[in-house]
Amino acid sequence: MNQLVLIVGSGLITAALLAVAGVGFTLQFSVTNVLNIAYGSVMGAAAFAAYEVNKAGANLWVSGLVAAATGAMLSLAMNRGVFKPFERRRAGVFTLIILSLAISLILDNVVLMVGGPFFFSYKQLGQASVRIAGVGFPPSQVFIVGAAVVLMFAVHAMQKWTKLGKAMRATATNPELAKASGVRTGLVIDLAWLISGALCGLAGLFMGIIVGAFNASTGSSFLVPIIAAVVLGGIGESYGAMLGALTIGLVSEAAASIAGVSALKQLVAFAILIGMLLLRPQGIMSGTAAQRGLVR
Amino acid sequence: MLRNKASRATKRGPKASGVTASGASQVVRAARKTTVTVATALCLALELAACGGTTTTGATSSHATLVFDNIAPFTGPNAAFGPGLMAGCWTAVGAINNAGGVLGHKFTCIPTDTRGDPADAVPAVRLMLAKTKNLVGISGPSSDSAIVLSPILDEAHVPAFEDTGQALFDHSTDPYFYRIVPADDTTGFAMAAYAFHKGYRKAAFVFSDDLDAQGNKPSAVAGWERLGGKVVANINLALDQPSYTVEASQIARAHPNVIITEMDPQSASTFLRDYQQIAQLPAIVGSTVTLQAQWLDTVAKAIGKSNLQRVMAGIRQYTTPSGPAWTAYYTALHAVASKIQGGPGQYNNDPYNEAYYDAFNIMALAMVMAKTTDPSKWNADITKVTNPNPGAVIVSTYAQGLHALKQGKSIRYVGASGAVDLDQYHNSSGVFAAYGYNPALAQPVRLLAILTPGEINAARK
Amino acid sequence: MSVATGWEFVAITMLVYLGVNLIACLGLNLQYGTAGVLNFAFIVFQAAGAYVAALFAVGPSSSSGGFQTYVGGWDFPFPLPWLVATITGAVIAVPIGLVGLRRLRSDYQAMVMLVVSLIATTVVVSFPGFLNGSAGIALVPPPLGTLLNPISVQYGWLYVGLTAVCCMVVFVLVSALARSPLGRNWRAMRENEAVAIAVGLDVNRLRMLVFVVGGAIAALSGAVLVDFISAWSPDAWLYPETFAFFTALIVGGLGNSMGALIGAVLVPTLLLEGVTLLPTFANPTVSLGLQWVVIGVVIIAFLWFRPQGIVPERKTVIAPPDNTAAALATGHKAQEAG
Repeated sequence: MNQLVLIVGSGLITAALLAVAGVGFTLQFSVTNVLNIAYGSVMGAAAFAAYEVNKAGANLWVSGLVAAATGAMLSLAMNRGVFKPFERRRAGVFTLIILSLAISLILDNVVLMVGGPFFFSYKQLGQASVRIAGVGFPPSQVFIVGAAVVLMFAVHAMQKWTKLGKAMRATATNPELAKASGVRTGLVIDLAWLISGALCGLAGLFMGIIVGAFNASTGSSFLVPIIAAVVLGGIGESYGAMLGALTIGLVSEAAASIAGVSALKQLVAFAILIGMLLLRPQGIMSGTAAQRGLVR
Repeated sequence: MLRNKASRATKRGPKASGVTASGASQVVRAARKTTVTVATALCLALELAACGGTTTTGATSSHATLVFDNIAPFTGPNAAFGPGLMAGCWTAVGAINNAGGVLGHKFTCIPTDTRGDPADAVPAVRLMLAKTKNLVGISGPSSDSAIVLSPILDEAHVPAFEDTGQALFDHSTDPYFYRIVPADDTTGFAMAAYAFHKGYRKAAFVFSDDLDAQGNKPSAVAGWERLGGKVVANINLALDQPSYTVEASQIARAHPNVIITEMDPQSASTFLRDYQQIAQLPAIVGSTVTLQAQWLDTVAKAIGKSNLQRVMAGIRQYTTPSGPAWTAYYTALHAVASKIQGGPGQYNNDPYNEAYYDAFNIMALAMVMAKTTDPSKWNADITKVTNPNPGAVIVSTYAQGLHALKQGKSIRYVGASGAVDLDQYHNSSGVFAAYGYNPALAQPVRLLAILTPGEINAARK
Repeated sequence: MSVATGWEFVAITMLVYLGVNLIACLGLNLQYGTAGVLNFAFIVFQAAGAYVAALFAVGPSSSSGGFQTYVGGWDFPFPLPWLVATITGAVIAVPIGLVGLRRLRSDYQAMVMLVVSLIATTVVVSFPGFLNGSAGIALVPPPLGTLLNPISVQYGWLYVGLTAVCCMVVFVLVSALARSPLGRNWRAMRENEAVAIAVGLDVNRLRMLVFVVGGAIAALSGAVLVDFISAWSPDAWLYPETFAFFTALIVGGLGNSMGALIGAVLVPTLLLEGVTLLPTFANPTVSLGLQWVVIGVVIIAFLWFRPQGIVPERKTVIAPPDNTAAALATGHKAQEAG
């Protein structure tokens, strides 16, 4: 029983991180069709900004706000400053990817230049254990899972019940039609980047807390795992991202536990992903993938 | 949880961020590998015209500044290695220059960025060798590229005090190769020996799966078993994981009384924090990496200072933050504080930094002894400066050595990292000791025990 | 060493690297420029070639002291390791292609390939017994090392010659393919896949074919590189390396070999030589970090001001037959009618 709680607990922690990051990533993709390689770098930059604030004495809540704001502003700037102008020139998908790569390069190195090559770590929430079902968890982990749930609910609420959510869905589905129907697609897209950027920034903060210490390249190292979760769950679907994150988190921890090999953790997750790509490349929730013609 | 960085060599200093590693920077890393033939052809022509074939190593004009090169990653996953080497260099160079330099020459330090992999390191070093005038000595390279760079440097006839513990250098026959940092295998034996000496018999081996951490592991495990200890768990941790709870629980269920480990600060703080939630931490025996300032600070934040103090021991070269050699090192280090990235404090009691510093002093003294700055001529004097020699005056700084040599005496330099005794393969492992964590001290490590060679050899055979 | 020798070695190194990159760019250009297949796992093929070439030349681990653990390890004479490496590149293209080449839209495909690249790295690092994990494989003997002293300048030039021969072979192959009916089919597939299918082309087979050929070429580039530096490690082939080649193609110009050549030459110049002329600060992290920032800015600027690359692809225009005017007129009338 203990073992099960452990597996679920650590699986949730991974899932929480990937879910928050994944939802942001998939939101960016759904609204603007950009495979944003710089996403991990934005996470890292936001985590670093939060670190600076935290070092100066702010508590984790304030640091979290700073992280969210940094992520939001960087993401908006990226879209307005780089992607949009190129898209107006009808740049292809491939060019946009290379652009996001260049941005990633710039961001990571600015953090390196400003912060130095060493490790950063937050002043943590303390070491007292939170006991759940007989197993102890560090308070930071519990906090993050809780925060992730709240954020997921907020995203769900926004998509389902707000006008913005509907406008985003309309813009994602058919931007021309949406504009013609009176949706201010420019504003919607800006807001989508702000929101997904905020999620990205928060994910960066969570990452910094979870791994204990991070440096200018840690953010980028989570890019592909995030992509994996998003692809598994179905690109462009927020619930897909959550589902993919949950699947990867739980299954990989379970696999590591059964097999006793830490490396297997990642490999099992990847194996699932490969299986999914072979059998059902559009992912678990295939709405956007099908609609965009991503898989033919 | 899903890691996408291949390796994080963590041995020397805190793992650093490299920006380049996962993100876009690699784009250019690979781009870096090719170069314009036109530009190099031009350079070649210009050089030939201007210098008519004079050497790049050794000084040609009488007061030229001599160059020490530091070869390490400065960008990429291990970007902190480079600044670490530079810190040792500036410390030594500051003191040497203050004492008047060597034969009228002053020194300076330059970086060469390997970017953490052999494919990038080779062109970087080739370019450095071609364009650097008055190159006299090298600190580095580190494990990520040592094996490909070592022959190149040797062929260039420049002494290199290399920064790698890899076992394949244990029997190096290159005349210009030197190593005064401990070999991985010896360190591993020492770790096993100390844990056994403390009475533990059930060990769990937990190492992160990057290049440097894995270096110590085979000999640690082999030595432990040879001594008669029991291996109750043996895992490699994948990097960049949000949680090691599952791994920790597996280990805890095996009830080890000691965890023998080397990990980077990130993995260590995650793993140990997760372990502490499940079971009380057993004793920990780590390596030099686990005694570095940033490792201790980060892990202390994760598991609590008193807990860390209670369980922690690390094996590293025996150096004391006291005595004339260390005091001089400390003074010199803080005298160049403005040049030390991240501040000098983290290197106060860092045996790697002390070794880098000593390497330059040794090289400078060899130059004085041979009365020339041409490395091909003073290379042979290096062992004369370091190895035991009856009747030699023990000196602990460059200035002292210079003074003694001027008086015609023979010297033995015993520096901040301790006595160096280079064997026929130009290796010197030094004495190993176990250190613990004590946050109350200015240098938060305290000596626990000095290991005898006999103890270590018992694990080796 | 004398100044001249130092610069000779630099020239040798740069030429070999140029050759390696050129071979890789030609292969990638075949896949993306000609056939429109976006292979973001390209670096895996180069890595596979490098590892296999290494394994077939390095001999069993015990022969070099037993410091490394890897599968196999044979000591075959040159050029056998390079041949095996090239074939390996072709062979592994099949399973990777099966996973990633399905009819996915290009950016989705890119994501899938990135994940594949990461999987490859994870497998190699997590199982140290396979290819010596993070340490990689070293002590690879230089090919034809018995002919000349491997550390001499003469050997270096010999190696440049070997590289040049490989470049030539690949160049001829790629050019021949581009001009062949197969090449036309690939371009047709790239231009308009729906039409290509309608005309009866088996696009799945075409895609897999270019993947295999490009994979083989990439593997060859890895073999040439590994034997030059005599070692290979996971750090040398992390997934972003693929982007370096794409950038070279973008700068040089897609879809033609001259563009690939120019890109392979220029990207390093722009990026390598140019940035080292930047002022250096006392703090090397800042200087070196700044170089990367400049590189990123340059990439963006280049894409903005010259997106077609330096040597833009020449679109082949097929002259319409003489009765076109009449056909067009009829066509127009049909359109206006409804």
